[in-house]
Amino acid sequence: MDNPFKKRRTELVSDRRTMLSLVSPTPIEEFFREDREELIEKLTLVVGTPGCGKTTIAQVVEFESLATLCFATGNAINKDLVDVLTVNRLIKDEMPAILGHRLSMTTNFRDVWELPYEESTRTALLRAFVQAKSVLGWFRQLEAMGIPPEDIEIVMGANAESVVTVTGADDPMKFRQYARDIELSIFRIVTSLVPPEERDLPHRSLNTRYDVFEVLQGIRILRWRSSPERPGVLLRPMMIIDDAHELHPVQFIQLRDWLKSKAIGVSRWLLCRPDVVSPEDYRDALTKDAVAEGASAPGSSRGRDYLIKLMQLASTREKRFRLIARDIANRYIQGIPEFTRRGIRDLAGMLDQAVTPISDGQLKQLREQVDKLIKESKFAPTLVDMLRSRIPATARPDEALATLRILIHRERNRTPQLGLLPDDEEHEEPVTVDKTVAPSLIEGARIQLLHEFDRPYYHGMEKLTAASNINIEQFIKLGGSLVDEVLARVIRDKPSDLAPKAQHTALVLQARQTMKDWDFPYNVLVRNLVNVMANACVERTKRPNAPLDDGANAFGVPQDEMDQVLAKHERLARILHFAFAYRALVFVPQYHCKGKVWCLLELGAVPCMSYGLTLRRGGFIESTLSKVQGLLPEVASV
Amino acid sequence: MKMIANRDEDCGIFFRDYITTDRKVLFIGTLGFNDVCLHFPLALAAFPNIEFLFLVEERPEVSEILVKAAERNRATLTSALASSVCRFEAISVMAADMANVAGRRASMVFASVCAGSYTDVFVDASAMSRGVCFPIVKQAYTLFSRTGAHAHVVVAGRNKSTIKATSTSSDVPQFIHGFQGEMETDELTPAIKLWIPQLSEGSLASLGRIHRALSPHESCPLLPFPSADPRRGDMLMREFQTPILDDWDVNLVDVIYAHEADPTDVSEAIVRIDRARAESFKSSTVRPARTVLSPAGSRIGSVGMLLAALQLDLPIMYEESIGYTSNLSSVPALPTTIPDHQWHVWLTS
Repeated sequence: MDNPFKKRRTELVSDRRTMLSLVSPTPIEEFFREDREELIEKLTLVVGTPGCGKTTIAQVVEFESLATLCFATGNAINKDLVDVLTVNRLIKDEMPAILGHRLSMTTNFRDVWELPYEESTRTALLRAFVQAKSVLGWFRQLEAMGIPPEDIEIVMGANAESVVTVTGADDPMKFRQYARDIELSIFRIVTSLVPPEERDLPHRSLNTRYDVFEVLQGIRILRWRSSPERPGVLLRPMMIIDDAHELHPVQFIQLRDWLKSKAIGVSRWLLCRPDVVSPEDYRDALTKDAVAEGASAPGSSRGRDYLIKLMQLASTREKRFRLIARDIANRYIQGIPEFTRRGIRDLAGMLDQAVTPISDGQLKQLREQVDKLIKESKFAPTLVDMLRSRIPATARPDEALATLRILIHRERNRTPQLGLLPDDEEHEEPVTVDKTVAPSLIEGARIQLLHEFDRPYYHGMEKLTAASNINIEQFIKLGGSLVDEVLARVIRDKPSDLAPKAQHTALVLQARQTMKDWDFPYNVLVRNLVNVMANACVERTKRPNAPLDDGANAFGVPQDEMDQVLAKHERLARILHFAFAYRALVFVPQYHCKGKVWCLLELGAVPCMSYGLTLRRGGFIESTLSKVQGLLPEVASV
Repeated sequence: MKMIANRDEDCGIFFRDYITTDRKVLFIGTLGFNDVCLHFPLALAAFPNIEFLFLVEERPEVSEILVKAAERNRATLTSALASSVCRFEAISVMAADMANVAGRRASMVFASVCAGSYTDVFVDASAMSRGVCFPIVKQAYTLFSRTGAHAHVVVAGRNKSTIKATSTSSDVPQFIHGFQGEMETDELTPAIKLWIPQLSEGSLASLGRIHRALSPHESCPLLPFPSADPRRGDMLMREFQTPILDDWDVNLVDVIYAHEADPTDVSEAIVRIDRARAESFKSSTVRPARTVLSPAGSRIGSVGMLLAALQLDLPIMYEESIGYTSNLSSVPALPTTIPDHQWHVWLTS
């Protein structure tokens, strides 16, 4: 097996067994945890940025995966995964219970919208195309596991006699051929250089005669040729529509509204990027997200005719992501022979090393700065001691000194009448509230040390997971750069521990290279936007009094202004679409702060590392949409 | 399909002998920022029986300086073709939701103008984007079977462009309109796919996305050799080192070399490979075999891919440009020299 970190995404691993062996069961468990019934019964919108793991979940739910896991001979491919799927009833009695197929919305589906026909005709064509492709996909899934059409039975619901007659459902071969005919006739209309006139369309292409989703109850496997001892099983068909954001916005709404119908007996998921979900849906989902766990599933919006699953955003999700990331990293580590031969199984063990403080010379320089500041501020030793006592004893000397410097600046700022004091008089009582400093302020001090003395900041497993933006693909890419470093060491017979400085350097270099490699639409504008935002955040972060503790990494825009932009197809919305999709920025809607609702345009972890900013959420610079728009140069449009 | 190709000065001789007064010719070109879009219209301006149609490709993001260059070219064309029938037609390359609609819109325009009884249709690929040009050439070629009109492709190019512009690709790989064959249908799901990408500078990310979308079983990258810069092929190998050796799993003996400025060489190389592959698969597997092309970089090489695709009905996957940027501060003067390479290809059945 190749170094799995090099593949970056499990969906790029072509062999199904290899792919399944790498899948961590934790995100699957998390995904199904609260909503397992509704996920199968109702339309579910699975919302997440590319690389967040939604496609991997879809691939695991496909029939070929379930059957491969169930029927593995010899060593189990991924026993933990089988257990999770069994608990969630996707596997029953060691047999698949679902006939899932992932259908990606390629440009052919979007092109239906471009046909010069009435909207109702285009809608009908899209539905028929989706249904025909789904039916054919299910047959392909069965075929991949050696189950030919003659070994199955199509199970239709009551009062479906006419559909059975038209579609040939009493004979699986005919049923498949009918779907193929529908698929091909629509495909030819869509791909023809100049489409036929609407009046010339063959009637059979229209879904008025092809509504299989509403009558199909299941597909029964009558016999398993590969293992005849297994009993027959009735599978519930499931359609997973991936990349639904590639559709025209109106098509997306139409498809969503159609799939909401309770008449549809097929399980269905719609996978899409966050920017196509309406602000109202987002608000609902996030509100539920904020409700205490246990009362509601995180990231799920319920009580309506469809379910929304947000694949990221919530802070609770970040905590769970650490477990997921660790599990994935360790599975990948096991796929690298150089590590397994040496008994290395845990990435965190290689990364969690004690930080190297700044050099003695630098420490001396810092101490002199602080002493000078104390003197200029006319702070009495008792006052300085009181400020120092607020710093936890666990802080390292350089961190403590940098934190003290921040506290002195804060104290100075609260004492504006310094110049009125006689030369020999000193401040003895603090003006600021006497309490132990927050961990975020210590982080702020560390970031200032990074900028001032190049002290390593991005190191350790916790920082690596924070740098991943709750995105598995990004985690693997960043983790891969560290694994390369460790690999180079162990091959040269050196210990596998990676020093914080080496980790920091590898991650920052990887981040800078990733930004350099950005080659997506509007990347020049996004790069400029990121640069301006990041420089402003750096300036705020480096302020002597660290007003936001660990600094800023976002611009906050009033939520209502942002809603208006996202509702229209304006240039800014288009640019933001790509910035979010490629994680240059992270979209954090409905952020409540200072009695207002903000939408944060948070710098992605990759730009944050490039510029030396905090990876924690919350520190933002208040802005407006017009100011953000002002950061984008105008261009001509021809 | 048969091709009759002329190059450089032979193109002018062909035009002089072929475009007789009894012919009614439609010339379809592009109003671009590059001066090569002017060469053939100006060379054909003296023929009174040619009607000119210039497509203006509208993209959401184009640098101001490039728009000015296009305006300068428009003024040149309008002035030189003052005594000819000449019109400009705008085509939106991207829809409001950033979906690529270039080929579809171009085909509609072509279908509307070709209602007239032309004996010949000349398509100038010099500055036309592939997503617009290829469907039009295919339409022109298929028109012959219905109306008897002859299809011609002309293309001019320079070894070094006078205007340095950077293209920004959309991030959605897709088949060029009309060049999908039956790819992505259920029938071709099990197809064994060979991918032939044309390597060019700066197309690493775009070709990577295409590879990811296509998931070919084999990849045979096409490198320019011979080339005006003999080291260009080596430099491209270096730029594409990671995908060639890792992601695409290319066997180095599968790298194809074809003349940088000879579309017939590109076309023949592809045709030879596809036919040999079909022959070897014929008796060894029931799975269908398909060759998918991905043009990038120079238009002349791309025309070679177009010719192969027309000949063998091959699918072509690409990413459309959503815009062009340039760091130029002023529009350079029109060059006084003719383009380094000129080709005319007559497509006949």
